[in-house]
Amino acid sequence: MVSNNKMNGQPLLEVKDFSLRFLQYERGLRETYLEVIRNFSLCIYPGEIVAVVGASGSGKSLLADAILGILPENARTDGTLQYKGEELTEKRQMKLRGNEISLIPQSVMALDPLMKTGKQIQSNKKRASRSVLERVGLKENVVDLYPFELSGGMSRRVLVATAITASPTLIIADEPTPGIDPEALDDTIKQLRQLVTADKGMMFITHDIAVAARLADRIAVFNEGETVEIAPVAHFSGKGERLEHPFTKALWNALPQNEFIMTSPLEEKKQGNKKQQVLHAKGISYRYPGSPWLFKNLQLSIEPGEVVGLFGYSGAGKSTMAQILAGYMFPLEGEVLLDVKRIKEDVNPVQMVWQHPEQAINPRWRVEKIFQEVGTWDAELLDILGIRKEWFKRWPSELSGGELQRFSVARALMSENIRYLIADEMTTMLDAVTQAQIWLAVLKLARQRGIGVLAVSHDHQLLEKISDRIIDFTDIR
Amino acid sequence: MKAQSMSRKTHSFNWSVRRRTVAGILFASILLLGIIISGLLIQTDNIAINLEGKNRAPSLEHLFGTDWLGRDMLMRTLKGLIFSIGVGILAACSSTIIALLLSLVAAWNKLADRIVTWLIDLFLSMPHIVTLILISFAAGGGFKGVVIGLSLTHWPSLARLLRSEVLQLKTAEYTKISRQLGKRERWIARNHYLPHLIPQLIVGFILLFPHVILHEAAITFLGFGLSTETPAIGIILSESMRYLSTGAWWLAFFPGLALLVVVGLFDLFGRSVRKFVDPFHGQRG
Repeated sequence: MVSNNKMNGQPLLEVKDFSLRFLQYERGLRETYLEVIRNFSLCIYPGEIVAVVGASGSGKSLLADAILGILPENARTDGTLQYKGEELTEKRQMKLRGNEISLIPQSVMALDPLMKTGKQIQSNKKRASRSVLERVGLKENVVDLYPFELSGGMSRRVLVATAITASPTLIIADEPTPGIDPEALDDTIKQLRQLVTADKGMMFITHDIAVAARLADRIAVFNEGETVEIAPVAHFSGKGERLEHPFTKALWNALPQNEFIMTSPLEEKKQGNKKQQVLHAKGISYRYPGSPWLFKNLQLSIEPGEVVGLFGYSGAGKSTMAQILAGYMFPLEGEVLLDVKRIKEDVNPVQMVWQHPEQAINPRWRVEKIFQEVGTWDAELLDILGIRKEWFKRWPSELSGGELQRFSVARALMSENIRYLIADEMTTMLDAVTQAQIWLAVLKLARQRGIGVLAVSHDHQLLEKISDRIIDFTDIR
Repeated sequence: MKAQSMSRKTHSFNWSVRRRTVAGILFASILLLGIIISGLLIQTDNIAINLEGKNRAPSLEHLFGTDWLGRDMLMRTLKGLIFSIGVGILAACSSTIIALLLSLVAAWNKLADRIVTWLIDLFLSMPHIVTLILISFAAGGGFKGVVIGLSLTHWPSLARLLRSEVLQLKTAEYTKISRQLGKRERWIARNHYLPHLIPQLIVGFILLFPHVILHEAAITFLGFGLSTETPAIGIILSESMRYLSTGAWWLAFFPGLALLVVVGLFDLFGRSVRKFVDPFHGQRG
């Protein structure tokens, strides 16, 4: 790799000792800095794709914003950013942004809902976009469509098209593959690869090491604002023997398709206690007004102490189904039964853990208040989940996503009637190590206490590791 | 290095915003406190009738001049302001409470929300001053009538703000989870909604203040408000109108200016507090 670098000469992008802090005002006059990125260094050479991998909330997207010069007002930076050997100043960033450096944004929400796609693609530069559309595999007629008329995959292609109209030299792709099905993933990876020709470079930001390993030439692993290791992609193989840093190794090995940290073999499923009831979804159907049925006459049952994996891609309607099972929504047809009765208790015996922990805990509470909310205390459970005492007094913004998610799980499992846990993409936003730790704790508690678990995920390999049986959402809906 | 100079520039910019905010709060609160305290210290003999010194133009002895009965206009103005501030506190307080209650009611169900929105629209569609005159007249006029009228007309804009906040909180994941954990709406309102609403309430309350005071003075000036014996700014202004044509300009000018200054100070105070509470997300200014 080193020789390759020398061959290409000057790096496209060079980030040296880059730090990023946020100015915050804590209660009154106290001024604090929240350090998000510390001493980050990275080079991208022409013809190369470098992946930046880190857990969500670790500040990777801010790195992209810093390079493009679109940071929020209260951000402070240190260190140097160089593009083609020259300092990236505010003025230069303005000139380069959208021309030589462009961004493929994370969410399809970045499209203007009131503007036809053709115009959005052109908005970068007034140039015929036919060849651009061809390159991303879209038909010409999409220029007359509005974003709401596009499918998710098409929207993503349009986003790519907007990023490449000006034929940029450096492309920053921010999480362009969130939870999409394997076919679409292959497609996207192929497409992104094609974009990077000899004189171009790409920074690929993702939380998914597996995707990064398929696409990138080098991978920079990012943890708590620091670069842990930058290694060529070939090192991410086997048991990670060639990786230098223990964190990277742990991260690699914690992937569900690798070892997933199985410290101790899980206890076998206990034979169902007769007194405990089975959770049934009896022919439930749901659709949003004006849309086709998300699922119709869906049948599903979970036994106590059983871990069922529910597999499906984003946008399939899994989350809606999960919310119906957990009592947040009501089915249009059919019913959810616990044994033979409808659930009537105030405290629902079916509890759900949501995908985004920071939205599941009131940001104006100290986290310990969730114990008051749930009304019980279980030191053993907190211990198994690895929740530390010193976290109790903190505000949610002072805890990481993984730490917060542990609290969410604790709240669900501590509620007095708990029989079933619905985990809707519970660990999707977390890094592989945290994901493994949380799942191990949940599985242990579920076995111990005979709690049935429905694990909803788009990650088949994860489900294979944790579930007793896996249901494909497309089969049952 | 260029990058550093860039960051330094934004740094100093933010510092000055912060400093300006704190300075605004301090400046406004000191002046307002000064007005309130000096107003409270005024005794009746400070505004005693002194017919020998009537209709004097502003001088060092009487900064705001004297009126047709020889009373010192500075003292009368301060006394009037303090009375207006009192009315303002009472009315702004009850308006804020009405806004909070209605916004919580709006969260109850769709029908309640529709009723509340309809009420808000109804009150916003009429000119303040008309409803205000109507209500305070119907409530029997005088101090009581004015306070009731002011309280019942100033809640809509704050209620609309709080309602949208409550609707957002109502669908937040953490309140949904609370419901599944068997928490009642009252518990949720107290523990989930209130911590979010209190900063809005405080800022809303302070910003209601200048409105309320101005409207109080306005209807009093028009003769629908406080009775003529009360030492309010509106009364002073309407009385002095009779003497304006004789050249006693100071009778209306200084009290009017003082009223404007107080209103401006409260506005500055409110906006600074808002910026202080939420420095990066509130309106910039």
